[in-house]
Amino acid sequence: MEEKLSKKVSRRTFLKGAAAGMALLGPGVPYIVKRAVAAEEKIGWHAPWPYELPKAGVNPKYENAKIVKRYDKTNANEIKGMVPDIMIEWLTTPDKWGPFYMNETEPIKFEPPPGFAAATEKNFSTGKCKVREDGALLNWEAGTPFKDPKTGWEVIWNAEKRYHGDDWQHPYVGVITDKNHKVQHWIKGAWRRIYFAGRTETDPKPIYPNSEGLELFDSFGYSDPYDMRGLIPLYHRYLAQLKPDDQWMYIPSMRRTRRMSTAQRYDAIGLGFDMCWDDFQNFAGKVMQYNWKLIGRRETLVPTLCKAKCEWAAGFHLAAPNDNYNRVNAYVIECIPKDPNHIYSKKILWIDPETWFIPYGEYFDQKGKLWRVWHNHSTYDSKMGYFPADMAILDVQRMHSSNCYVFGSTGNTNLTPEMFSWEYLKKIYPSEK
Amino acid sequence: MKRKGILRVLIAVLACLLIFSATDVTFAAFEFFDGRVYITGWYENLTSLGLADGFNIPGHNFSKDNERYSIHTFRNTLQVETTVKPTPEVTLFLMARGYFDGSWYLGRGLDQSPKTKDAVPNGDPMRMDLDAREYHVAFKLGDFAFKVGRQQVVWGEADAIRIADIINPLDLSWHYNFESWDDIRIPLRMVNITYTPSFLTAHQVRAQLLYIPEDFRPNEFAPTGAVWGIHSVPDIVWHQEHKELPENPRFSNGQVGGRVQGTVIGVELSVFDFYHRTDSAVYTFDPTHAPLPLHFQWPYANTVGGTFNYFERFTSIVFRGEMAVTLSQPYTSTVLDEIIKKDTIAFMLGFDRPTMFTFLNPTHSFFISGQWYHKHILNYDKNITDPVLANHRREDILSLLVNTSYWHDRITPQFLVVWDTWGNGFLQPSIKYSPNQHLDLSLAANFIFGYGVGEEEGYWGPVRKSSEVYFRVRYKF
Repeated sequence: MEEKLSKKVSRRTFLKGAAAGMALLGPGVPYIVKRAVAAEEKIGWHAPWPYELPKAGVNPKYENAKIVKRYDKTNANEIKGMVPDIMIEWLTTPDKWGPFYMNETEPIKFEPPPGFAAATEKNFSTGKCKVREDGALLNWEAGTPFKDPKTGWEVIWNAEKRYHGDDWQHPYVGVITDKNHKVQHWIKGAWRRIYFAGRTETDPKPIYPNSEGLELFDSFGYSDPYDMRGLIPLYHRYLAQLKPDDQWMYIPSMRRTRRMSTAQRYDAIGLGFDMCWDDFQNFAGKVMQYNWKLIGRRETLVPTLCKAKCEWAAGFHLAAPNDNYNRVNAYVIECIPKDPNHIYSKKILWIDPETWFIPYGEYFDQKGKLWRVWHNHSTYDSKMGYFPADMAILDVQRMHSSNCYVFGSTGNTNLTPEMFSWEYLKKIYPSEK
Repeated sequence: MKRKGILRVLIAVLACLLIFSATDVTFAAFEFFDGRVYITGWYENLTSLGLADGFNIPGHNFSKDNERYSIHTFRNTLQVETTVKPTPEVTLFLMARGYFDGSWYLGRGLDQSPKTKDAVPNGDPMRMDLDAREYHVAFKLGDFAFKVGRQQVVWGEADAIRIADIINPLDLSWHYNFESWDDIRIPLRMVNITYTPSFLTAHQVRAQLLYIPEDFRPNEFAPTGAVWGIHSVPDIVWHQEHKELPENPRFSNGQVGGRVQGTVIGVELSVFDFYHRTDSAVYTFDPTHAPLPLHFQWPYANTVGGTFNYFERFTSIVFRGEMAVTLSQPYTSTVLDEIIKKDTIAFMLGFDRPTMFTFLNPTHSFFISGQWYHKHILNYDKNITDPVLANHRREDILSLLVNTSYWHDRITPQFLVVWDTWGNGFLQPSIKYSPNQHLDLSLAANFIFGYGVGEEEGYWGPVRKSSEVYFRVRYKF
C-alpha cells in the first residue's frame, strides 16, 4: 500500500482538507451527526444511540403492574421515613433535581425461576447455611441462603446470593452530568458476567468446573468516548471469601494489559464517574472486606420490579423519574469498610426482601456527611434474565451525577469462560489497537 | 498559501476549539450502517517554548541556534481512525495521521535547516506529512486470533523502557521520548497470531507468534540542528546511514518472535524470544565506503526474556518486572576494526500503588508508580562506544510517577522524575484540564539535565539544552 501520500499531496491541498475537516467538526455546520443536549423536562431516552428493550422482551407481569397511587411534591410527606430522606427532597424540589414521581403498584410477589426456587427451598428447609464468627458464609451451594435473616451478615449474604441469572450481557449508556445540567461525558459500553458457582438455570449447574475455585468473571468494555474506546477491565473473583479479586485492565493507549491493585476497587473509576468499583448496584465488593450491622426493617417502596424502559429528563440528575415501585418491608443494614483508607466511612443499604436486590444506598464520606446516593432500578425480562434498567448515582454534595441506562440486555445465554479471554473481549468490545 | 496564512488558519482553528469547549454540545463519534463503520480521532496542537539556548553546531550558519524562549514546536496533528466490520468476525482498521509543524515560521531564534529535512536516518519529513500510520485486518478462527498489517505490538511490564517492548522502533525526532509511546512507536507490517486455548482460560494462557517478513525501520532521530537532534552527530553521518540502510521492503529483513503468557497462583508470567535487527546502527572502518570510510550495519540479535506481575495483598502493591538477555548484542568499537558482540542483560523492577491521602484529595487516590532499570554488558570491552547514545558497562535508571484527579476527573496533575545514576534525567510536571469528553488542555514542562560528550552522557545528555514548557490542546471526536 502506498504509505507516504505526502509526495502526492500539495501543501495547498493539505491545508484545504484540514480546514474542511475542522469546519465539519465546528458547531455551525449542519452536516455532521450530532445532538445538542440541553436541560429539558421531557422524560425519555436522550442518548445519541438508539434504545432497545431487553432482547428477550419485557416481563408483562412487572411491566403491566397496576398503579394504585402516585407520589409527587404534593404528597411526598406521606412516605417520609419510608425512603431515604434525599428522595423526599427529589420529590419536593423538581427545579433542583428534575421531575420525579413514584408510582406505587399493587403488591408484586417475586417468583424466581424454578432452579433457583428449588435451591432456595433446600436451604430454607435444611437450614444448612450458616454464618461463621468472622462473617464467612458456610455450606452454601446455590439459592438464597437464609429464610429469615437476623443479622447484617445474613442479610448481605442473601443480597449477595440473590437471583441474578447465570450470566448476563448488559450494553449500557452512561451519562455524566454536572451541576449546571451540562453533560460532561457520554459513555457507551457493555457489562458481561459469568458465574461459576450458584448456577441454577443453565448447564452446567450448580458449578462450572474449574481448577481455580472461581466464583465469577466480570468484564466491562467501552466503545465511547475516544479516551475509553477499547478499554477493558476484567476481574476474576474467587469462592475463597478472604481471597481478593485479581483484576486487570487492557489499556489501548498502552497496547497492553496492566495489573490493577485491588485497593483500586474503592478508588474512583475515572472519567468523572461518581462511584468506585465496589459501588456497582450498591455493593459489588467482597463481603468479608466490610463489617455488616442490621439497623432494622422499614416499610418502603422499591423499584426492584420496575418498568423496563430506560428514561430520564435530559440534563437533570435522576434516572427513571416516573417508574413503578413495590411496597415491601425492607431490611436496612449498615456497611462499614474494614480498610481505614476507604473513601467511605459507611454505607446504609436498603434491601428488598422479595428479590434481595439493593435499590437504595446512602454513602457517607470520612467526615460522616452524606456524600453519594445510589438509586437502582431493576427488573427481569420475559425469560427471567436479570435486567438492571436504570442506575442513578448522585454526588449530593457537588450536585453531580453518573447515571447508567441498560438497553438490549440478555441473560442466561450460555456464556462460556472462553468468552472472557483477552482476544475474545478485544473482538467484541471493540478494541482495535 | 503564504506561511502567515497557514498560521492564521491554525490559530483560528485553535480558537474555535476553545470556544467549542464552552458550549453544551456533546456528541458521539461517527457511526454508520448500524455501527459497522466507525470513525473517530483527534486534532491536536502542541506548542512548546524552549527554556535554554541550544547548541552551537559547526557548519550551521547561525551564531546562536535554537535560542532560549523561541517556539520550539508548533505541531498540529490530525489523526483519524476508521473501523469497518464487514462481518462480526472480521475487523478492518485504518489510522491515518497528518501533521504540520509551523515552528520555523514563528519568528526568529530557530535553526531553519531541519525544516526541509526528514527524520534520520530514514524517517518522515520534519515539517509536514500525511500517511497511513496503521492498517490491519483482524479475525478469529476458533482459538486463534489473527491480526495482519501495519501495527504496534507491546510486550513487557515496563513503562517507557525498552527491555521487552522492542518489537517496534521509536520515532524520537519530534519530541524525543517525552510523548506517549503509542504516538512514537513506528508501526511495522507484520503477521500477529495469538492462540488462546479455551481449556486454560482461567489461567489466561495465550501464545503469540509474530512474523515481520520484510519491514525494517531503525529508530529515528531529528536531523542535526533540530531542537531534538543529537548535536554531536553531524549531517554527513546521517546521510551515510541513510544510504547504507538495508533495502526496505525486503524479505532478508525478516524478524520473528514468540511469547507465552499465563497466570499461576496469582502471578502473571510470560517468556519471550525475539530475533531481530538492532534498532540503532553500529559501524566499522571501511575505506571502500564514501564520503565517510565507515560501514554502517544493523546486525541481527536474539533477545530472550520474561516478565511477571503480582498483586501483594498486605501492601496493596502491584509488583511488576521484566528481564531480557540480548545474545551477541552488537556494539561499535572505538578502534572501528570490528563489531563487538556482547551478551547484555537488562531488567526492570517496578511497583504500582494507588494511595489515599485524604487530606490532599478526599475523593481520589494518588497513583504512585516507580521503576528501577538496570542494564549490564557482560564481559565488557572498554572499546565499546556508540555514535548516538552512550553505552556504559552498567546503567541504572530510576523513575517515579505520581498523579491524581480533582473536580470529577476534570483536572489531573502529574509529576514524573527520571534519573540515571550518572546524573542525567528530567523532571516533568504537568497538569491537564478536561472540561468535557472532547477536549483536553495540558500545560507541562520538561526540565532536562545531563552531561555532554566525553562525560557520562546517558540518554538525556544529548538533549539537555532542550528544556521546555509546552501547551497541548487536543480535541477528540
